[in-house]
Amino acid sequence: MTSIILAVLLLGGLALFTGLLLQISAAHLSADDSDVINAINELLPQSQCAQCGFAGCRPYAEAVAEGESINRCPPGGTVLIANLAGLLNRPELPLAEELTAIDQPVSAVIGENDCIGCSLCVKACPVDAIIGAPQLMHTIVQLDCTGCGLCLPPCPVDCIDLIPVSHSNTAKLLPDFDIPCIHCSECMQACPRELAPQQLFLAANNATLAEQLRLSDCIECGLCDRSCPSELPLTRTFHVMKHNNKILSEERAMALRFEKKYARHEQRLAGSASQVANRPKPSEAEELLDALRNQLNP
Amino acid sequence: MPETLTILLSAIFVNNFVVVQFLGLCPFMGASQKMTSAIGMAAATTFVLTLASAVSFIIEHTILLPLNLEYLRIITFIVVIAVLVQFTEVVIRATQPILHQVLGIFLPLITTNCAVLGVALINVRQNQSFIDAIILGLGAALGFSLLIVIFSAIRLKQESYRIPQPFQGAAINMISAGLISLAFLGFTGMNT
Repeated sequence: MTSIILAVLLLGGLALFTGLLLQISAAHLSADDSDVINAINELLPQSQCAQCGFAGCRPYAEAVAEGESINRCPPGGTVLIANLAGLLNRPELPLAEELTAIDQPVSAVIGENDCIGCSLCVKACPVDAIIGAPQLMHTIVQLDCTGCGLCLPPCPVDCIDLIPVSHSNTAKLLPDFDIPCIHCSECMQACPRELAPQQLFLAANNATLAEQLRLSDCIECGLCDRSCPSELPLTRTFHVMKHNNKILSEERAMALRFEKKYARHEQRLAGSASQVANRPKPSEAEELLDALRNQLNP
Repeated sequence: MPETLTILLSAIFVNNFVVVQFLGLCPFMGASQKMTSAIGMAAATTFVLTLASAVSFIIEHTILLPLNLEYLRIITFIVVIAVLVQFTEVVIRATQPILHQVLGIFLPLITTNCAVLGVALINVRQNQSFIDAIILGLGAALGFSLLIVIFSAIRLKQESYRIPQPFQGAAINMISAGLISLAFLGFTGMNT
């Protein structure tokens, strides 16, 4: 009997004591997910299209940090899913079934002959890319348009179309090769700019690492190609890497712009809503008039 | 002192817990995809293993043995380990949120890392002194850290290789782990 009581006391006491310790430590070290949310948000395209089912890119980033699936962003496509999977160490998934993939970047255009100037689309645009006054024709600033399609449903005359962006650059595919790098370092001795071509070659899918290895210093002279015993397409790979990194940084800059415009849009909406809410009510009209009269004739 | 050094080195190399005694293979395979997650896992496991071997020694010798409650050994140790893991998770979540996301389920799974419970039970079986028990825990943890970092580096390098289809994924990882294990067999018999 005593042994049973002892065992119960021991385990119960241990559980109680350690549970208390854990509670105290958890209370003192509060969980802060803002770093994760920022890291996810930086990868998102910031088109604010809300196709994921959340109000914008940042709310989706918050949801992903809480465990929402990473395959709900059509504008980001497979590249984004791969990046998020790498960041969060989750399996790569195909785009969620109920969403339609966007094969190529699009941009909204107003059919200006049909536009009746109702200005409904102006309010719908999350990044304020549509300009024009009521009763007058509107147009879309192409540079600012994220192609989210949110202006399409409100238009009463269906004069807005999504058309593929013609000038957009697309990422090139890395060249194919038969024999893998054997790490012989012949290319390092051949390089006139003292780069490490073999390490650069292995960093083909890692833009930050490639930049650390001074990819932009490569002059594409082709000497490494000639020294390589595996006949790897080194120079062509570096050319494609530079091209893709340039597109990547352009996309990043655009995303930053969209994010800022969206923040300003939200701020403005909140500001005008609070102005409406704080407007004087009819019941207070007499008091306000009295106050004004008192000011004029003290 | 040489005695302690022998215990430490033997736990790291000769009786390495991962590739010689085959304990703790789950996080070894699961958390070694990326160098950051491997290092994070190694640090978390080192912390838990070292502390768990110390605390379990204290509990064994101050509570379980005097009260003749040896039969509660495993469940008590598991509770202690679970608490330490939970504490580690709270600390990592507060200080390294991205690492917390990357490690995901493998962080709470340190509780069921058989190397942690294994070290605690081996300490009891071999009747170690307090210092030796901690050193064995530290050695096991360092051995685990060494292996997971080596394995992660190998996996990183494998990404640029053309692996035949039947060997892709888990198969090549198992083969690489087996080859590392063979290499560590070279240390056998050196703990004298």
